[in-house]
Amino acid sequence: MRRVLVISLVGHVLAIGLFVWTPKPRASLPALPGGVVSVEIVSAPPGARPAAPKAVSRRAPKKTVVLPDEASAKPMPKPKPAARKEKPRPKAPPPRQKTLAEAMAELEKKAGAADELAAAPRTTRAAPAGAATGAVGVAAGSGPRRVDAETAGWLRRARIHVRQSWVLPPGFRTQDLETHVSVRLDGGGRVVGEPRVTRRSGNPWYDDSVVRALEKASPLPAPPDAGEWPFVFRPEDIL
Amino acid sequence: MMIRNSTGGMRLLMVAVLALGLACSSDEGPDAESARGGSTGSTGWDDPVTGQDMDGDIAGRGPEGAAAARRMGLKTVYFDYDRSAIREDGRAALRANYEILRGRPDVRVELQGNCDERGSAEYNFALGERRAKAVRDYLVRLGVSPNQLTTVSFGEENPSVVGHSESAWSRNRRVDFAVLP
Amino acid sequence: MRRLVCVVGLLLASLPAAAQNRPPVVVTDPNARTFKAAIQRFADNQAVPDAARITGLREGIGSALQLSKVFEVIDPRAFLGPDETVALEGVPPPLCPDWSQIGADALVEGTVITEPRGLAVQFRIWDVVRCRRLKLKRYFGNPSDVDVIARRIADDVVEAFTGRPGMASSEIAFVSDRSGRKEIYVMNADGSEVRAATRNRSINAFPAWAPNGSEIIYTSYRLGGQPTLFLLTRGRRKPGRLLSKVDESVPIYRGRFDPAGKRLAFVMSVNGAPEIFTSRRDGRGMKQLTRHRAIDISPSWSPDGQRLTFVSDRAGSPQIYVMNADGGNVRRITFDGTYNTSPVWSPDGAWIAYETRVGGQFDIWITDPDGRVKAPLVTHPRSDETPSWSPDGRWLAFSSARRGRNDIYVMGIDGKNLRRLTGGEGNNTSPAWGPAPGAR
Repeated sequence: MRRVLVISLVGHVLAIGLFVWTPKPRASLPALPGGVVSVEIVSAPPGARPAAPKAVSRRAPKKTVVLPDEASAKPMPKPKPAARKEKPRPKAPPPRQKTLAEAMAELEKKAGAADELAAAPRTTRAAPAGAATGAVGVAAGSGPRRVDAETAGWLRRARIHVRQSWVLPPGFRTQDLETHVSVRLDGGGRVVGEPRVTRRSGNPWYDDSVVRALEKASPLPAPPDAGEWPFVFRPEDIL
Repeated sequence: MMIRNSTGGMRLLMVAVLALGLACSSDEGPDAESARGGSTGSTGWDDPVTGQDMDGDIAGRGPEGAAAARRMGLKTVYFDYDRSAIREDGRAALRANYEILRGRPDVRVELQGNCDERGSAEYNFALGERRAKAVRDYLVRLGVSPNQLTTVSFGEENPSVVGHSESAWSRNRRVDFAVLP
Repeated sequence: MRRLVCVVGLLLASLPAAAQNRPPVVVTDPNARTFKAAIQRFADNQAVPDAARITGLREGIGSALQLSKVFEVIDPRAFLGPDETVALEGVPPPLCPDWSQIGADALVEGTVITEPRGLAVQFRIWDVVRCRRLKLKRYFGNPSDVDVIARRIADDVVEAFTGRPGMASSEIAFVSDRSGRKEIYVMNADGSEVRAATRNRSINAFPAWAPNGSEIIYTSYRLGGQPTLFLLTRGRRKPGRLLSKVDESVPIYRGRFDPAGKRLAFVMSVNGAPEIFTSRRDGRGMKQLTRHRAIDISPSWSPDGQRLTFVSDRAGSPQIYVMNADGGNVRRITFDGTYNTSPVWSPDGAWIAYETRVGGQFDIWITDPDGRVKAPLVTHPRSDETPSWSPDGRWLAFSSARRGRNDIYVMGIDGKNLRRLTGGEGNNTSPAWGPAPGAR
């Protein structure tokens, strides 16, 4: 009995410890409004100018998911470093090479990680709260989670479903915000009670927006089990 | 009688407490604000006309100063784009102006720096000032008394030729002479 | 018994941990950028309700909300709940499902109370998804100020959902030569109600707002000699001269208040070179920040008042620099192009917008204050100049020559929602976006 107690105590202390200390993401380049990172690479031949007036560099869309109930919202374009290389930008003053190389490397790394499921390794972001305990054998930044196929499938469906309900005005998207929420779902995917913010982003309106998203999303696709499910919300998966 | 009074007082007290209790327990009162901050009555921004008839002048200067300068034969000096260096033609003009001013130590002249419309208005304020100072320094080196000369810049705010071509711009990049009263 | 308690206790204690055992759903990149608002017709306490005013109020709130681009307004014909507010007191709260089912995020309900001394408009803002009341507020005004009140309400709705008020009730000052002279004007953020702030028929330039929103500082030649700084106060007719102890023969221009409204930054010519100075509002405590033969101009404060960005051509061409508010730690942050000017620091401190010369014309770019990241924002082939940030940092106002004459435009910081505000009269330049009324 005592041994069980001790193990449980140690486990909880470890859990709390990992929960409290999360590795800070490396100081990254600030996200530009519209989510674009400046990667003006080459100066095109002088005299060449884009024909149509353009307000802001656009990233080509990565996802082609059409969201039927958000007819008014346009898909948020994603950065495509390769495409930007090809585009002539005669007036683009190239940033200093060192900064540029860093920016490009970072973009490549994150673009590669962008479309992964939640189960994928997250080497440059803080570990979600779910990684805390040792029971599942996953720690921040380590190898892929050992998740069964059913759960993996549900994680993906839940993500798409909740994303459709999440409304976030542009002003938040340029900030490094992250909120963790724990939601009780019943067997049918309905939200039971109020979603609980387990880690605040520091911006209470951003936290409100994610709670709102979860409540709006109810009922979610039916989870593998009823119970408490953790969610992590970030405005951008690139920066 | 005392009892009745005190009953009345107690009743009043009870009512007051009840009212207070109701007030405190109800919804918090709304934040109240006046829709238009500040003054009442006025519709906002107003700056009265100063009462001076300023038609035809530049920023408080009458047209007489420029006209007097022209009558004296003082020449305008022109500049290259973004530059405040005196060109060859400018030097010739200033040497001529020096001869005129040398014979008229009573005359005080305002050197008015100007720019063409391109570029930031603020940088053009400063560039116009640089041009006026360049002309002033050249004249002083030639021998004009510094007391005869003052400088001012109008930036791009006072074009002599309105237009969006080099022919207009080149005639706006200038230092004008105006005789002070 | 003790064992049972321990087991149950452990089980209970590990329940939250059980949630931690599960991998999280990571939600990113929301598509939807606008909330949806349902606005009821407000109740009217008069015996004969003023239907036109009530309709006007709803429409005013709606159009001001849509101006923000943070909200869309739901057509009242789609309402499941009541179209009109019955009362705010003594009635049950709204049935949130009625509203969330039609896609609303926000519900605005209210009453208009006509009193002898004017109108009182009381309203509530609901988050109908989470079914909680976010705001209860009341505005007083003259009956003729219904649209002013409508704009304030709309800005409050935006603030309730985002933490920063909308800009519908803010104003933009600018310079226009529509009268034949360059005078200062003020208009609403949607371009309506243009009114003259100066009429001195001199040359007036470089308006900037005090953070209290009731004063405009500007540069004028109205004294007849050198340019110097003046202060206009809302509602007062006569401007006051700032820095009156400085001799009138010294040119002073481009004055800007610091974010606390206590200090001024401005350009003053010293020995023929324009230098940047700061002082207290009353002119005391004047400090010279730059000491250089070069042109040093265009100071703009950081939102924490600790730093200034400015323009200097000390390296041979006008470029953007940043320095501490005491003049120390000067750093250049633009290195490309031969002409970078008009820097303005964003309200959240993250960006500096500026104009850069490309070919023969100007574009507007933004940079982070360390100069590491730069991006174009307005790149029309005709000149776009003098950017100014909205108080919520979501918009930029600027002057553009794209239609031939100069007009004031606004554009969302994400590059969307370009709108022209002025048109048809004169050349309109040098916009200065005033603070949100709630900040006053």
